[in-house]
Amino acid sequence: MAGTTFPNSESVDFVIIGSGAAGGVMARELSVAGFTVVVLEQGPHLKSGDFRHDEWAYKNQQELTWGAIQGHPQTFRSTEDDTAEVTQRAVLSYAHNVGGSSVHFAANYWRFREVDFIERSLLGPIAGTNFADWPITYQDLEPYYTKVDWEIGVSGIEGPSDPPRSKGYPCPPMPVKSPGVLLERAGKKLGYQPYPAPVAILSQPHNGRAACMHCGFCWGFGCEASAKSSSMVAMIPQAEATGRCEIRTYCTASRIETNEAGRATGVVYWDTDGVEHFQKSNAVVLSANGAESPRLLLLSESSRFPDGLANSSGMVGKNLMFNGWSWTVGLFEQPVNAYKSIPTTRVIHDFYSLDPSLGHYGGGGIDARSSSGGTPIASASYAGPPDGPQWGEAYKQSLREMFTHTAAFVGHTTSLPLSSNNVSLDPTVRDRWGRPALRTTYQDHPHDISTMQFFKDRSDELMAAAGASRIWGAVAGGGTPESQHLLGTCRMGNDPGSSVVDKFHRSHDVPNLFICDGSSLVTSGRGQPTMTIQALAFRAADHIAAAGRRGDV
Amino acid sequence: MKRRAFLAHSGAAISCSWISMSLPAILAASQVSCKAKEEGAAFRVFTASEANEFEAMAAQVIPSGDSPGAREAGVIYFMDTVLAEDQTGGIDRLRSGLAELQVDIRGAHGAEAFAGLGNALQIQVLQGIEKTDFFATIRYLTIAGMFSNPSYGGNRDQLGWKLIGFEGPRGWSPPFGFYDADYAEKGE
Repeated sequence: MAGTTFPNSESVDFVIIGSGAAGGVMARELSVAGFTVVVLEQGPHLKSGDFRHDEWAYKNQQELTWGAIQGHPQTFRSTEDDTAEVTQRAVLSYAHNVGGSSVHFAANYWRFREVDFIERSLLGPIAGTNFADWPITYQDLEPYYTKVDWEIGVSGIEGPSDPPRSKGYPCPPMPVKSPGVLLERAGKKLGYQPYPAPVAILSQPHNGRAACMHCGFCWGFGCEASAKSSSMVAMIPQAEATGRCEIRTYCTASRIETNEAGRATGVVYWDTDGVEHFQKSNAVVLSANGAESPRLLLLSESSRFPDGLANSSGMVGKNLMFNGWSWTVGLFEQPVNAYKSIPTTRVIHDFYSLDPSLGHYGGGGIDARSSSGGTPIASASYAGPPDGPQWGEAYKQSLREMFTHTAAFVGHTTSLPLSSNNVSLDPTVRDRWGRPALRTTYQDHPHDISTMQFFKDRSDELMAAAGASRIWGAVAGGGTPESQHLLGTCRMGNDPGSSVVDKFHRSHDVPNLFICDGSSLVTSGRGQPTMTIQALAFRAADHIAAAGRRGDV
Repeated sequence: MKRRAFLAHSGAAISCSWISMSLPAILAASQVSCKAKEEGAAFRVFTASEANEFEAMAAQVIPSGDSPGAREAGVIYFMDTVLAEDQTGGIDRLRSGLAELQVDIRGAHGAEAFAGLGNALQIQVLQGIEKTDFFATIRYLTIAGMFSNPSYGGNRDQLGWKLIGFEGPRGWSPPFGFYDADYAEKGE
């Protein structure tokens, strides 16, 4: 059955740019609320049945995430004094398809906590950073976290230090795996409070979708069972069912148009053949992610908005945060088989906020995973210790134990917002559409590095307590290839001089332009941002719909 | 110095070991190359002597022995398939690296081909180029050919997956490993 379509000549209520974690929620909420919606998505509309257990295609060939070979080169530099160079793999990595990166993510759904929204007030300023409070509190967002739990579909059980919640999880926790058991036992031994990891993967049927079959191909793959709660399966079908939402695929937004009055009039885009179109709309919702949303705003400059649209604060593209991480791998005597089932089943949040007496800001969580994403090529490529054999007979002998007898404890940590860490337009490199390539300028703040090291040290202790016979690992800063948490680049705030959108995601400068995705985050959280991005989208959509009904968009 | 371009030691360990296929090529390869994995099938880009050389190197990365290695798994057919579809000039880089290596082998060992050296000498030669992009590319393609889906031409009869204990891509039920079985048994 053909879906709803709108002609370009007809103005719709909303054009939504992007169909991912946030855009999918926006499309569903605004169309269900009665508005007409066109969603522009630059990639295809894959269905669950299209996904394959094909590591070479998805991980090695970037079938979902794209890169230079598909005509989307990116450049990177550490500081603004350097010249950015094209990277082999995209620095800012996301999936180009309906559902965006919610299709191929690992689906860890940690709520942010009260402290995340008010840390600047609690801790004071941090020199050289844009560390700030959010314009909203946890209490403002709580109903929307619960909405994510139930309408997106999350499995879990209330944890020992969870923030208050108005309702339990719709699905019980996923069955524990061996890495989770090892983390739980080690954590208890050391006096911590490990608990079942909340995940956007169904442990039992929910909202008409099937339960997980534990195939192990979550992280970096699409779920062929529709058990992973992507926007693609949880939101988009409901948006389309309203008859008021058109998902226009292979359409790449090139520019948000504005008129003399400074209002957005619609979006210019290229279709799959490169033909330019203009979709008129009463308002524009930008949910293209923390990399593409700022790029599109910068590309939408005009005489009225010479520094880019919605950028009177100069904050568009600034405050790029990735979340730091550390990893510790342990070798065990018995089979762990971390390649089976979902990425993570246990988490420790005893270090959510580090003691200020350590001398640096930070916090995070530690979860239990496979050593290499649980897939064979990756395991053979880099699961082993860095000083272990890399080829030959000894290497061959090590492959089986690296694949079946290792577990990893991974630290997920805070990143500080800095003006000098940002997304901008590359002055020389262009993409297949002729647009300036995404240029990343990024260097971890010293506090972020100290925090990652803290989590590495705790993970090492846990791994020793778990009884590993051999332990290795590293810390990995942001700005490494394929960073997937793209945060902070159009931050929310009450002050138009230091933020891009207000607390309802309306841009300070353009009254009918709303921006909601990872770019909205004021601080980074503790390493699992998608649930918060979707809670923000549900909340923003409520307010946008109310404003729409009273004629205020 | 120019001659050393492809065997030069690289600062970035795997900077050139990057082979990129277009999406249509990935899909096509995953469907049609099943044919190519039959032993003795014709190669798409390799000459017979190139295939001999690269297969000998792959067989040093994952040797045969008590259990099958890269040779038995048909890694050379995977290499041929992906290099035929690669859009980054990978085959040219590999050919240039091989030509340089063969010059070195001729000078040092008086042999015409890597594959003609004895096992110990082959290992010694590869140890000498361990840090090069050329070797990183061979290693990368050997691993990918050993452990990717058999539909790409390598991992024949799932020999790679059997080697590491990967029981094939399918669904599972708990218990998944020893420790969660033990956990369930003890009622923790």
